[in-house]
Amino acid sequence: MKTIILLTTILIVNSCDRINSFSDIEKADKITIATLNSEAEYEDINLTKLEMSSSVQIEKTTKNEFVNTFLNESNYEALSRRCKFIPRYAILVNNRVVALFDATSCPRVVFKYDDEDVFYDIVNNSKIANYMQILNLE
Amino acid sequence: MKNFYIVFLFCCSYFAAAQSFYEIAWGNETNYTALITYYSNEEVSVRVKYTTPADVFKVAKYKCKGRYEYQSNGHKYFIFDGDNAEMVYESQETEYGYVADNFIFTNLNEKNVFEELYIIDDQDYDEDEVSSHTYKATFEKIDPKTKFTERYLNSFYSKKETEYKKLLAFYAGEDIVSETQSNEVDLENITLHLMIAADTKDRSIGRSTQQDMDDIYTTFSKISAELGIKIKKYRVAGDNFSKSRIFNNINSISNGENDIVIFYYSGHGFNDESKESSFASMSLDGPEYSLEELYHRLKNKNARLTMIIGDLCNSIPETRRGTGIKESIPFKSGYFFDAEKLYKLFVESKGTLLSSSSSKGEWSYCMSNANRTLGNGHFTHSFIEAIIKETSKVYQNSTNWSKIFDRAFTDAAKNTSDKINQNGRRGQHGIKYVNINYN
Repeated sequence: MKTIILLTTILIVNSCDRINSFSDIEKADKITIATLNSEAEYEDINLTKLEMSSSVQIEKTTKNEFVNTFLNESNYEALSRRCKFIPRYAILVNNRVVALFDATSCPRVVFKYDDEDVFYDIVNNSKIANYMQILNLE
Repeated sequence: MKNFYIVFLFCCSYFAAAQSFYEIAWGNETNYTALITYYSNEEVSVRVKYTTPADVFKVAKYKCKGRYEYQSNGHKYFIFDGDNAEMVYESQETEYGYVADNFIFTNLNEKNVFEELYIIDDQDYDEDEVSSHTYKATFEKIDPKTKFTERYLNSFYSKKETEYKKLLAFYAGEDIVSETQSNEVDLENITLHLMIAADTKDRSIGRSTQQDMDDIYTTFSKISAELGIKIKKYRVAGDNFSKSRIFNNINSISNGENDIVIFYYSGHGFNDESKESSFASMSLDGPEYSLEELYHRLKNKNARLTMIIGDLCNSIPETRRGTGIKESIPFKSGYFFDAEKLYKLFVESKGTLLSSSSSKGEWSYCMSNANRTLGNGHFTHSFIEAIIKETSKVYQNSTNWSKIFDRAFTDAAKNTSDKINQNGRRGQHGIKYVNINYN
């Protein structure tokens, strides 16, 4: 078997898979994380009328902790769960929603772009849920 | 190479197991030809024939298991790993045996197609000698109805082998329902009413449910054609995906007492801790509606056989309101039904069945294609695979609906075992209620 691994290393051209969806959040100086009032399914959410019950600002000084916790690629995998996605939190940069996520019932995140939505299932959801509690976001 | 590429393009588009047949050829001084009988990733049977430079004709056999492997950079390739080769024929006795080959599919392109196949003999040499034990191969899917002549099969099998006789039966299409069976029941008077509700417009899993819908239609259409019974399709999908449309379609079913009614749901789902039902609710508009409620509604239509099947989550939505990876592989399915087995399942059966793709407190999962697009639901994939395998000519055991669902549940659980589910268990575990008798 070691031979197979060696050989395929020779045979296969390298490439790199990355989650590129983090860039907006990584670059931002100030990030807002908010709890959503609505319990609407993602399909029915109106981003222009998003109602939030509470929110926290993450400034430059505390950003590293957030980045290390939330923007960790090992937290995510390709979407595969057949659960209904009801976002519980929103991440905003410059008053624009860049991501919506739920870390409990249907652990999932959607990164928002102008032309597309990029979904991932959250696998280390308890880690993210705990962090939301630390931020005093229910 | 052009043909090889086309075959792979075709083969990687969809995979739903059961037996299918392929021929792989490679070699340098000695030319090898392998006949591959593919049942599942876990069960690949290989016969290799070749003539040595000393003009000795030989045939070896071995089994393979297939799996994906990943490089550290995330690039993937597919391996069929052969083991325990055994020489089954030599035109002249020699002291040399045969080492099982390994088949490696590489260079996955953006169309989800493996472009190259290599054969590796990985025994008795140093790592420095890898290249001298590696052969580029050609690859072809075989239609047994035209290819499996006595002469062809006899070059891989002895005529005395049971397998030889079974494979020979594929030749020239000896797969029609037997006359005796056809005389017992007027098959033309049986209609299979197949209703599929698929949330194809959903932005997250729509592609997966579309695939489920297409493949379920294809599978049951082939079965009805094989049996010679009629099929009537009811489609609740796209912009028409709604509870009222499901009810309207159910009301429009005008079934006879000897008909079959199958309802298949592919979409989001959930359950509720306060509810007694172990079966999931479908994620439809309006008040919750469970598979179990639908089961009772359809049961009242008094068809001979009624089945309600759901590929959906059965997870608990905690405090809020009700609410993979299995990749495509290089081999494509083949439908080689045993008509007698289909007859038992669809003509001699009477009763009801209700099934959900995961247990209460569990998510169900979609498969991922190698190019990261969504494939079938894991359950739907396993269900189709189970039907095809359990009703296959090659598979010797008798079958029934319970066995088919048990096989599908087992395979789906295995294929999702890398996922920690909501209830802490690994994978998804389907549940069923079966009350079906066979004449």
